[in-house]
Amino acid sequence: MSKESLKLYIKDRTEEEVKKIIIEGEIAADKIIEEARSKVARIKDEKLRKVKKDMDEKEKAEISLTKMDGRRRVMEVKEEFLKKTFDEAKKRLKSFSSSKTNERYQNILTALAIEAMSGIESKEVRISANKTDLDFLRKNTQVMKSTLSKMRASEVDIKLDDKAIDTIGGVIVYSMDGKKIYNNTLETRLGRTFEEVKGKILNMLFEE
Amino acid sequence: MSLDIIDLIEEEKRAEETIEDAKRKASKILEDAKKMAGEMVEKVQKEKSFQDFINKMTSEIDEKKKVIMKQFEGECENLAKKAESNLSKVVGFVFEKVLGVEYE
Repeated sequence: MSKESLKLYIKDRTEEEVKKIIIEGEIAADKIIEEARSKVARIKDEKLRKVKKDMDEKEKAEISLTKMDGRRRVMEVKEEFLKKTFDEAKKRLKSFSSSKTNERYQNILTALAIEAMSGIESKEVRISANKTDLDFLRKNTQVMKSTLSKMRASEVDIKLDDKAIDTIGGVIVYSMDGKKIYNNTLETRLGRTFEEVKGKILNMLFEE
Repeated sequence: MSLDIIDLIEEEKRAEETIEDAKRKASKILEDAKKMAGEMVEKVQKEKSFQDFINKMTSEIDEKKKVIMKQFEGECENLAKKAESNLSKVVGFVFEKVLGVEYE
């Protein structure tokens, strides 16, 4: 083989080797970049999934809070009208009881006093009321005494307080030792009635 | 040593250097690829991505909240209207109930 042929052989072999080294390097580099691209896609996918999950949770929480807020407003409207009903009923009761010549109220007052007295197991009872009602009851003590005595089948002694109490109407009855009390004022009855029939009041208020 | 052999040895040395250069070049290609891959991953990890998606979802949630609140407001208005018209009747019912003593 001539010298020139050998040199050409060396040159060709070198070129081939160089080509091979560079191609292998590029293939390895491409592989690294490809893997990085896959990793990037995976990271993006995980991030998107996390963002979606976070947003779903945010939506659930915010919708739930909004509904709670809405239900609270509905409750407030109902409470507002319950209070309005209470206030209006109290106003009407006050106007009804304040008329000195209202015969129906006078009958009811007597009944309220008898109901309260019959709820106190005591031979002697004391009645408190506002001034107008005390004046009326004082005039009717005998009637009440006789009715109550008949109901109990024994004598009952009724005393009326000298001092009037601040109430729109009705009575408070005490046993003489003060241990037993029956509050039958209109305010107390209104409060009791409200608690007893609150459900019905709500139904009636918001029915068609 | 003949000049021809020396010449061939020189040629062989040049070839080895060329191959070493190629190896260095390939190594540089690999290093650059690794660096680029690292940067790609680092970039996506740091990225505060999907802001558009978050904004879109947020405005959708706000819209749903508005619709819900509007429904409740409608319900409140409706309840208030009914209560206003029934108030007098209910007050009358309570009034009679309070005065409905057992002994009358």
